[in-house]
Amino acid sequence: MQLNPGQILTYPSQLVRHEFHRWRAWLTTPAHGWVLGPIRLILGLLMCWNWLNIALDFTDWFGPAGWLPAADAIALRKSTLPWGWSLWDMVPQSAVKPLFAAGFLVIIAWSSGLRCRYTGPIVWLLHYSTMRRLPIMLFGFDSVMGTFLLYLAVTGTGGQSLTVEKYLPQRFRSSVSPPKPTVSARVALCLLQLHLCVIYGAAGLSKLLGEPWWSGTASYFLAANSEFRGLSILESLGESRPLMALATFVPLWTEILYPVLVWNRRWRPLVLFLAIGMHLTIATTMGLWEFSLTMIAANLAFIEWHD
Amino acid sequence: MQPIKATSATPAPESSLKSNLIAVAVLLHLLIILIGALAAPPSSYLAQQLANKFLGYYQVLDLGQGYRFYAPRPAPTAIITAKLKIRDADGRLRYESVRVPDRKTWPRLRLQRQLALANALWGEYERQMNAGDGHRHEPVLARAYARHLGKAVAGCESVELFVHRHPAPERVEAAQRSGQVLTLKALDDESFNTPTESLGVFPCN
Repeated sequence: MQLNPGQILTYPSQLVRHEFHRWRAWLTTPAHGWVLGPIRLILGLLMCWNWLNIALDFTDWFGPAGWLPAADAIALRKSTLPWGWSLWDMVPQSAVKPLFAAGFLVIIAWSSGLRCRYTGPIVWLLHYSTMRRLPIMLFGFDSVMGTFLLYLAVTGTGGQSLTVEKYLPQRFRSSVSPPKPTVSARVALCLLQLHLCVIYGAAGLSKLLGEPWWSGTASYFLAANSEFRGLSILESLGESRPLMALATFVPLWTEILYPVLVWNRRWRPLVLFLAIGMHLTIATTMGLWEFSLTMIAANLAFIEWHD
Repeated sequence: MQPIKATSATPAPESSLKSNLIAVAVLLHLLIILIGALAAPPSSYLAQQLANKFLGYYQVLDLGQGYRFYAPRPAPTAIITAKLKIRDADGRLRYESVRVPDRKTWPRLRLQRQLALANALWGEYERQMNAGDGHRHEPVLARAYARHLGKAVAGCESVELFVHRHPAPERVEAAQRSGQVLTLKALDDESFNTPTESLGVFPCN
């Protein structure tokens, strides 16, 4: 291959232009987004479950003598998250319970696929506001749920399939049936796919900083955490060093390689199988069912694909 | 990412101002969340400075997490024990203890949230301990939680919060190195706890 100085000078701009065209084509090719229906349904059911759990501790979450009274929560947010906000700040104490109940109805409507363009953003607002109201009770489930809800909300998607709207008279439906391919469905799928890669990539690479993830003992330390109250595999791991190493390295390398291999059509089924298997193991052994199911739901975004 | 070939079943991509805007917006968003993930400690000065530029974006949309689950090593869990000092109507003094997380809590999602609460209280204590001179951190969370516990019990005078972590990594490591097969029951032994530290004594009101 011969290169002349002119080609060397134009190479960067040609490369950027070529890759941007590919990127744009990938993002804006309309998609049916049928898989967004199951994703919305799983996230919606988890949100209903979350809401019911919060209702069990309602006075602790929202009461004046709760875990973190409103004034303390606002002061804490102002000092640590000056851009953070919560709609609950504007709600008088007497109206919190009725609004919480109304919020539950909206979550049920969204889970059912009803008017997702409108109910989706409200569900995200409810989730975000509630998490910001009591930031001391948050864990990974809340964070990933908020992100995936955001993507469905900003694109107004989720109602592409598995929706109760098809049982309603035509005038109450928000879309034509069957739905046409849309750019918004494609963007929602791409956002979910890209964010999953960031999550797994960061989670996998950061583990390489720790000695137990190299020595193959990290799974033992996780299993020894008896507070998770999941199905214990501690004794099995303790009795078998190869099993301990396998239980450490398989999830570690699944996370590291996920952002690289999931884009390859041949590797994708194996990568998704390993990722879903990893989450089911986390759910059963650590009891983190809500987090795991949220991640599994998002992984469904890779099922709808075109090359 | 595979190149996209338009087929009869695949509608052609848009190539308008709208599609350019979508492509640029998603690209920027991806870069911003990547910077957020890279800026979690330990991280470079460059990543931290860049992430600081997008703090508003992260906070308004609740993005920018580091996603460093169980890294660099799985950490022990914080366990809070609250000791309530209660004076009964007859003037007698008694003490009650509350453990967070309460292992009997059901559904399990509520137990996970209690674990998060204990972790948040531990985190606040750790920030207090690590703060340099002149950077006094008020125990806002500990005080609010103590008040919450105290208000539920008539006659409560004060609440002292303690924290320990479980299981102590060096004890698990020693057991693992010596070939000892641990059981969950064995782990409940107090020797697997880190030393207990007091978060402070707080009034009930």
